[in-house]
Amino acid sequence: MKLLSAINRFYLASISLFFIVAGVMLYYSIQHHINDELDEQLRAEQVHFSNAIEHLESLRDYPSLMSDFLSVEKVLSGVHIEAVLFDSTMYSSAENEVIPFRLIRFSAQTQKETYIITIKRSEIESNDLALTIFWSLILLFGLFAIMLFVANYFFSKRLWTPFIDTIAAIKSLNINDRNASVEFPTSRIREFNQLNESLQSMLERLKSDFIRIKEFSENAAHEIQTPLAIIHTKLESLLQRKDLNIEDALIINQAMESTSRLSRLNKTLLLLTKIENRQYEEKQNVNFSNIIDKYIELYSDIISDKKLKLELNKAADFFSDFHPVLADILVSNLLSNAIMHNVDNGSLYIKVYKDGFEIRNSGEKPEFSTELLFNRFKKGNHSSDHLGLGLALAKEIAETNGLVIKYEFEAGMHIIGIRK
Amino acid sequence: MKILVVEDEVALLQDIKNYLEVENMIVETASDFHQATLKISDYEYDCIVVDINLPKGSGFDLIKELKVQNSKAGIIIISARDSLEDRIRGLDTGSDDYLVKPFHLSELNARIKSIIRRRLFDGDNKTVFNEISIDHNSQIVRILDTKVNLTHKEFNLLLYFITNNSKVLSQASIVEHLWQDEIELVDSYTFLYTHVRNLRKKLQDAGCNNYLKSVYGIGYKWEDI
Repeated sequence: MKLLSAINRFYLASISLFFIVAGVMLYYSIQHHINDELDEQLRAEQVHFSNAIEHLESLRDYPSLMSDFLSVEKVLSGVHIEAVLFDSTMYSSAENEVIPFRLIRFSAQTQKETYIITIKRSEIESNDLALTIFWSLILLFGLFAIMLFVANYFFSKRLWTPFIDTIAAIKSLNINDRNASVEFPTSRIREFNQLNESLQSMLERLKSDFIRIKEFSENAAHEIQTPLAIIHTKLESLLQRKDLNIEDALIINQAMESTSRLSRLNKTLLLLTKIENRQYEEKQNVNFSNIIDKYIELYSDIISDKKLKLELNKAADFFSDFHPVLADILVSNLLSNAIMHNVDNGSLYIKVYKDGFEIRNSGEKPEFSTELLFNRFKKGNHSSDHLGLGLALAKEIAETNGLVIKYEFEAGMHIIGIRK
Repeated sequence: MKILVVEDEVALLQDIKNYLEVENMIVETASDFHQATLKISDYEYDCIVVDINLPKGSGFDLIKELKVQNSKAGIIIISARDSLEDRIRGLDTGSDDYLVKPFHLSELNARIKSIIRRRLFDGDNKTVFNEISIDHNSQIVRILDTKVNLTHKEFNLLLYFITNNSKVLSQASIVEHLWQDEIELVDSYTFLYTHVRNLRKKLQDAGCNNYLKSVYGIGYKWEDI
C-alpha cells in the first residue's frame, strides 16, 4: 500500500467513526434539549393557567376551556397533586395518524372548586425541528470533512515528497560503482533532513566497507598466487635434479598438481566473486552460435579422441546481451562439461535456436538430485580432479545475465538448456 | 641470446634463471624497478620477462621506458593478476605475451623462445635439432630429407619437447601448453598419451632417433643421445 493511500484510508476511517459517534450523540442531545424546552413551555402554561383561574368562581367562566389541548376534571375540594409530566400517543383525526404527545397533569383551584388539569402538546413539531437541526449540522460536518480530506491529501502529498525522493535516490544507487554518490534533496522538514543525513553516512560506510571487502578478497586471491607460484616453481626445479629417485619424483609431481589445482580453484572463486559483485556489467550483443562454433573447433581433437558423435543443429542464431568474457566462460564450461562427463563412443548434440541453446550428452546418471548439481563443490562420480565449480559458475553467469539455466537427466542423456 | 628477468620475489627469480640458463642463453636478473632501468639502459636484451608489481615502480612503467628507448626486445609480462583488464592493459602497453602466475617454467621457456624466434628470424625461420628440422613458417618438419606429416597438436608437442630440451616435463605442463586453460579434462592424460605415441611413431617411421624418454609417473623428457 502506498503511504498516501494508507494515510487517506486511516483518515477516512477515523472520520467515519467520528461521524457515527458524533451523529448519535448530537441527535440525542438535540432531542433532549428540545424536550426540555417543551417541558418548560408546559410548566409555563400550568402557571399561566393556575393564575388565570385563581380569581374565577368557576371554570365555566374561563373563556378558552373548550380546547383540544386541555382536559379538565372536577375533583373534591382540597385535593392537591404535584404537577407531573409524561409522554403519550393519541390518534389525531386531523393528521390521520397516531402522534406522540407530551402532557402535564396538575391540580388547580378556582375560588370555590378544585380541578385536575391535563395540558398536552404534540411532539411532532419538536421532533421535526430536532431532525432539521441534526441534518443541517451533519451536512456542515460532512462538507468540513471532505474539505479536510482533500486538503490533507494534497498536503500529505507535498509533505512526503522529500521522502519519496529519498527512496528514489537510494534505489538508483549502484553500490558497486566507486564513483557513484547519492544526492539527497534537502527539505524544510527537520526529520527528513535527519533521515537523509543518517542514510547518507550509512551508505558511505556501506560503500566503503563493500569496496574494502571486495578489494580485500581480490588482493587476498592475488597474494595467494605469488607464494603458490614460488612453491610451484621450486617443485619444478626440484624435478629437474639428476639424482632424483622415482619415489621422490612422484611425490614432487603430486605436490605440483595439487598446487595447480589450488591455483585454479582460487581463480574460479575469484571469478565467481566478481560475477556476484556484478563487476561484469559492460554488455554487448553476443552471438552465441559463433562462440559455440569456436569452442567446438577448439575441442575438436578431444571430441574425436573420445570418439564422440557430434551433432550441431542451428535453427537460428541466438543473440543475448552479455559480457563477452562471461559468454566465453559459459559456453566453454558447459561444452567441456558435456565432453568431460561423456562416455567413450558417446554422443553430443547441440541445438541452437532463436531464444537459447541446448547441450545434450550421454553419460552416467548423476548421484544426487538435479538441483544440487548447481551447488558449489558438488561433483559427479568420475572426476576427483575436477573442481565441482563448473555448473555453479555457469548458473551464476546465466542468472546474472537474465538467462534461465535448466538441467535434466532423461533416457541416459544429460540435458542442459539455456534460454531467455 | 640475452634475457632479462625482472621479478621482486628472489626465490622465484633464482629458479627462473636456473631453468633458462642453458647452452647459449645468458640470463640477467633484476629484483626492483631501479635495477631493471639501469640494466635496460646498459644492455640490449632479446627478451625481457617482467613482473607488474615491483618495489619502487611498476612493470608497466618499465615497458614504457623500453618503448622510449626503441628497444627491440620481446616482452613477456608475468603477473598474479589474470583479469581481462590487466591482460588488455599489458598488451596495450606493448608487451608480446602475458603469463599468469603460477606458471610452469617449461611454459615460460617455450614462450620466450617463441618470441625470440618471431623477433630474430623474419625470413628463414627454422629450429634444428640434430637430424630434425622444423620450419616455423610452413610448419613442416623434416628428418634429414624426409618430410613428416604431423597434426597441429603433434607439431606443437614436438616443438615444446625440443624447446625444453633435457628437462623433465610433467604431463600437466604439457596438457596445459597444448590445450591451455580452456579445458579441465579428467582423462586429458590419456589423450596426451595418444598424441605422444602417434608423434613418436611418425618420427621413428621417418628414421628419427628416439630422443623422447618416458619418465615414470611424471611425464616425458627430450634428451640428446
